[in-house]
Amino acid sequence: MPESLDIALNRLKIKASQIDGVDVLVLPENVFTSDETLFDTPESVELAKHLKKQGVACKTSFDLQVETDVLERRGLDIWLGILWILREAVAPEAMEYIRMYIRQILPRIKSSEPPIVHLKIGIKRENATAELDFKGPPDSLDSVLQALKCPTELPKLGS
Amino acid sequence: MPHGITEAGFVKHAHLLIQEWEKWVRKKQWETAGRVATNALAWLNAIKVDGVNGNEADPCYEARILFHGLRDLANIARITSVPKWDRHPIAVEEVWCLAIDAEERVAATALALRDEYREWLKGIAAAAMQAIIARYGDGPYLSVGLSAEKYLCTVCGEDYRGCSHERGIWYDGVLCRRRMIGVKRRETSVVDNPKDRRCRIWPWNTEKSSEPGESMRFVARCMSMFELAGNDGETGKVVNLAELFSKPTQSIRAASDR
Repeated sequence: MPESLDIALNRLKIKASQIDGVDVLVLPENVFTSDETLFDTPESVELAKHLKKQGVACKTSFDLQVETDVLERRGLDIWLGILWILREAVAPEAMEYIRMYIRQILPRIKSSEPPIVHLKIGIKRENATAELDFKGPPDSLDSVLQALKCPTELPKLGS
Repeated sequence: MPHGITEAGFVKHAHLLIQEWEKWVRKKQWETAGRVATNALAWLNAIKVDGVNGNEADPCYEARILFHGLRDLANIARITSVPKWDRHPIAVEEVWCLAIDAEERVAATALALRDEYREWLKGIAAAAMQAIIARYGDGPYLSVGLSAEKYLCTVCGEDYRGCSHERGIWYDGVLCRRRMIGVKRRETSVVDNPKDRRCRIWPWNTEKSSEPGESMRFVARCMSMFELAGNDGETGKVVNLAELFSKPTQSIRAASDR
């Protein structure tokens, strides 16, 4: 089990058996902090719905009976929370669906400057993981997600 | 109880009302144009279009968005026709919020508005905002982060995170929306790029503070409960200019001590 995913699942008291058959896990953005209350965001809730609608075996902490609140910020940034791709084979389609979701919501944001997207994403592989902590404009994320479709070249962040 | 009307009858009457609004706008009779819009909203509150597929947008809902927008625009035009309106703080605040409301409503309505009118309508709101920005700049704004214990779906009443409904889609005549329950304020920031530009910090609501450890004191709207189609049964009103321009600004200390 990748270390950071292990830490997150422990904190959320999610057992490995609960995520059997799950390909994508959407977790609260503050799961690695000591905050008492865990938060989903409106964008992560909608992203999870979008992935499920596309047929991805996706579960959120809410689906796994973890008690979380929803944090609605009043800024223009897009907070997508933490995504874990648990089966590498689904990474290309999952990345494509995330790109599709961002393209869908961008026209609704009225601003002269592009919003900042916040997303932590991890891909579980057989012997290693690729992890990315992204904070930047949608265009850059689009390129990153395109690259993540083939994550074998990506090193583990921080290593 | 709303009375039924055929879709053809609805479309015909709605277009007549739009034409009526346009007629008074051409004559720059903003008050009358505003009344046409509020009367249209009263009519929409009293009817229900028969035979509409429940999984399609309710035409009354869309028409409500439009006529609320047309009323907002008539109010903006009415206020901004007063000389030096942009030097009156209450009028500026009112026009700013009306312009944002109107922009969002005109952009959201799919009802048949002639293109030249749509552009002209957008122009009324944009010109009012530009006049304000030219005099007072653009921002800053107050931005509040809120958390909710539950996020209820308006279609099924279950937590939206666990149901299959999608926000903005109609299901059996009900529009899916997310309703926050158990709301707490989590963070407050002053930002230049807010989600809701109605929460603007105006210069006349700001003052230097003499309190120890406090450099500035201001009052500002921290959130707005804006509904595109208005609240149930609401028609809004045509602005009363005498009342608006005679309103005194509240002292910052009194407002912030509330």
